[in-house]
Amino acid sequence: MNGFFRRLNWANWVLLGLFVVLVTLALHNYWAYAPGSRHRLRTYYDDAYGFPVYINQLDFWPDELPTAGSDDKEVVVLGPAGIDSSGVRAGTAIGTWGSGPVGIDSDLLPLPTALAVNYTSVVEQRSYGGRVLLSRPRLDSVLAHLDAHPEQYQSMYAYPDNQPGFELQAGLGPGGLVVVWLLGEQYRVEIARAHLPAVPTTWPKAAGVRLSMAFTEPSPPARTFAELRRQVNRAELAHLDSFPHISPALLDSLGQRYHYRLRVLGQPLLPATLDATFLNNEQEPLAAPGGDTGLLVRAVPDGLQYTVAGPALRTHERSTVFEPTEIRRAFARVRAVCAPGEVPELRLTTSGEDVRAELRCRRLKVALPQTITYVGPD
Amino acid sequence: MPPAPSATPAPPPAFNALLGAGLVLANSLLLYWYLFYYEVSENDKTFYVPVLATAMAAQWALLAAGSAQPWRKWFWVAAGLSGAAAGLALVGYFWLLAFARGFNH
Repeated sequence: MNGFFRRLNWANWVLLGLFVVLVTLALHNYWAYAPGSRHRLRTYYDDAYGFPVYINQLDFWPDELPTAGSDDKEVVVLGPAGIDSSGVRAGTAIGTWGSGPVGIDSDLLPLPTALAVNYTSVVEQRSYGGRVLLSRPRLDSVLAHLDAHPEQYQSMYAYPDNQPGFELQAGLGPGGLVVVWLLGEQYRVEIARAHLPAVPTTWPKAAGVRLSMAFTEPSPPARTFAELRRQVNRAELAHLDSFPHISPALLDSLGQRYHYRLRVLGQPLLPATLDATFLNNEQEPLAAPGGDTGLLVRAVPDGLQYTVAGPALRTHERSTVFEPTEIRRAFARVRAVCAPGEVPELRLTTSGEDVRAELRCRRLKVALPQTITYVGPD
Repeated sequence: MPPAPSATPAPPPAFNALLGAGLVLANSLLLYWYLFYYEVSENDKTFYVPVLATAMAAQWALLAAGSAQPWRKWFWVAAGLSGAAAGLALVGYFWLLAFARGFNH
């Protein structure tokens, strides 16, 4: 053995040292990724609805808060364990994965018990914040079920020893709806759901803040309706290739059907130009002879696109976007007041480049002042 | 009088060269294992290819500098090949970064 080492030349000494270092790294990796626990939990975050959100804070908080007198107090002072939120800047671009997966040499994370989140729904221009508590019994029962039925659940990762790995994902939606899922390969299991209260918004940023520097994606924040739709589409595409994407807002907006009549007054509507979009980004052309769609049995529209005819107009295309909460509230009020059987009317009145929206029945008119209309080709 | 034999017998001529080549291959395998084996994003994998090739080139060059002929020239050939691969992979990486925009997703 001694003779072996004495016969080595200097290059082999260097290579041997490198070998030892690499073996150490590989062993460290192996032990870091193969602990006794069966479920490796990674914490990701995302705007999983496909709706653009602007994340100010999103942290999974660890298992136990140490007692006041303990030595571990600084861990909490330093910030949440888990996600390296130093890479998460306010204004993380829509549809990206933020700081991405946990690094290759980072430690495994404890199961979190709370999600601290503060985000802005770009569509609503409204911010929500608070804590979502993750029930440990719920998480345990889900994991126990996955353990009991491994044939039904394919995990998102297979580790070298064929142990499954899952992700924890937070979906942030309009209306302050936050859902936390455990993600597998073709499914996701809901762990927690909460409606967060609205908080004062800081979006859009004040002048002087260089938004283009804050965004990691090439696109700046949406300034027009067309840009917003492009960003939403891109976010959807980015998610569709990783897991089946079903927007929870689908249940809110399409599960509930309303009877209403949609009329566009003012300038005449060009035939076959009325398109309604819904909160799940589905688009549906509506027949509107003379600007009147007749009786609709539909979800509440999220937006309308149409073309008006009129002399001396610079542009004829219009995109009207409703504020989701406002229009739902209006429907609820109208439903409560109107005579039974009466069909309320969602009326847009266009004059020049202005569009007014209101929901009305015979006894009540509800104006929709938060409706936004974008003028020009989409 | 013949000279006294030294404490260690002279190594066979190919000992250091073959051992060094084996170490280079083993180190490359370990580095590949370290960089690619566990959960890595596509983005990182794209970057690790030139990293791995550069590490191989550096090791072959180190071994060539410490070896004698006729191994020396073949080690330089291996270093040149892996170095060229590293250069191409690095150019490809930056080309992807600049034009393909496939990252960050």
